[in-house]
Amino acid sequence: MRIITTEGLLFCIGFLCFCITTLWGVLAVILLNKRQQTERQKTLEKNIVRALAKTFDQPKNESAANFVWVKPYLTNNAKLWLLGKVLIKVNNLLHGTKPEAVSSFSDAIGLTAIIKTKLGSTDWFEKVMAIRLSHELGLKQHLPEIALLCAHENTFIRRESQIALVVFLGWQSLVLLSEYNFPISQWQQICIIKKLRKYYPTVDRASIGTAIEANNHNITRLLILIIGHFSMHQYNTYLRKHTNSEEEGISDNAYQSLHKVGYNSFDTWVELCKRNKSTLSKPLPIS
Amino acid sequence: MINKRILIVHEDPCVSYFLEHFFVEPTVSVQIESHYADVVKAISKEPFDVIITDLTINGNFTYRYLESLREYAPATSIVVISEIEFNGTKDNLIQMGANDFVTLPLDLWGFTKKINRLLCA
Repeated sequence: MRIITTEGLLFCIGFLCFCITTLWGVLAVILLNKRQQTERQKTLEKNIVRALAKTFDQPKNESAANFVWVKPYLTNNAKLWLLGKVLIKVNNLLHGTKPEAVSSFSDAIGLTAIIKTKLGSTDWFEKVMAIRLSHELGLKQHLPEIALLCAHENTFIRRESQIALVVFLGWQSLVLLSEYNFPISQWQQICIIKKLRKYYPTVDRASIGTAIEANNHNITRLLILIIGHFSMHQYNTYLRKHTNSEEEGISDNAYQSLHKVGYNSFDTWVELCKRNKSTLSKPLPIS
Repeated sequence: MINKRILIVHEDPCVSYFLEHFFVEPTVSVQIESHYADVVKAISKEPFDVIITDLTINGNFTYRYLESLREYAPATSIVVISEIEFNGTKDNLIQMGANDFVTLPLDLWGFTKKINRLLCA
């Protein structure tokens, strides 16, 4: 059996102390960096928000020379996305007062042109961020480039461009979506309904009628949810038709939407019974 | 000389900085806070004429926050801003002591008029 000498023990303790001190040192540096980064982010947010607020007081946009301080943020991708994030926040805050304020600011600082070049990037993440910034900041001039990406092989690019389509074209975009043979995710459905509520609160019956007639099973669930959210009781036949659906979740959504458009569960059940005797064995939906 | 004071409370500094711009005047001072403990400290130090606050902030529960705000500042006008609105939210908040409830996105001109009216009251 090997015996550890006093020197060996002291060396081990010393080495352990060194490791622990180094670890604490690294952690301290990381924390300090993080704090500095947060401070820098706050300062940037403050500067952008104040510059944007000033544009509200003046009838005309300030000249590009006044936004020189923003230029360094346009060269670095991480800072560019941060700038975009702040602009989205301000746009959401002000949408009701001056919807074009943020897009004008974006034009003045040269962000719009950069976003346009990013739309042509080969990196999928850059492309997705550029599409997102385009629709969140209301850069409608990018619609032709974005429309081409709606059937892209990359799921993230395709989904973000389809949301952009809804933002720019409103209810008419449902007609276009009914022509694509790609499934629409639940997250996408929620986004589309939110965008329609925010930008196009008035229902366009002609467009939703055309989308229903297209009979594309990829957007069935989306249409059912939209009918429910906008309380379009004239489409209850469509909802009732899908209460018998075998596809997972569609039947539940159809029942929920029927409830939202004013049909209570008992009425729905009675109607189903009248139409098809076999539904008598089906349990009553919980409302 | 400054004779009116506004306190803006929001978790997101972007919102606070933006609103601050529209209320700062030679006679009006604006203070920004984002945490409940700092809000209590600020109110205890010197009273405010108007408090513009988000419905929920760090450090307290939604409705309890508003109740304690009313306790600490009984004479101050409180305007709550929020993105969330359920049925009866406004009535509940007014019962709890808020003077008004405004949903986002803001109608900025209408909102500034509202705050100026409360400052002059």
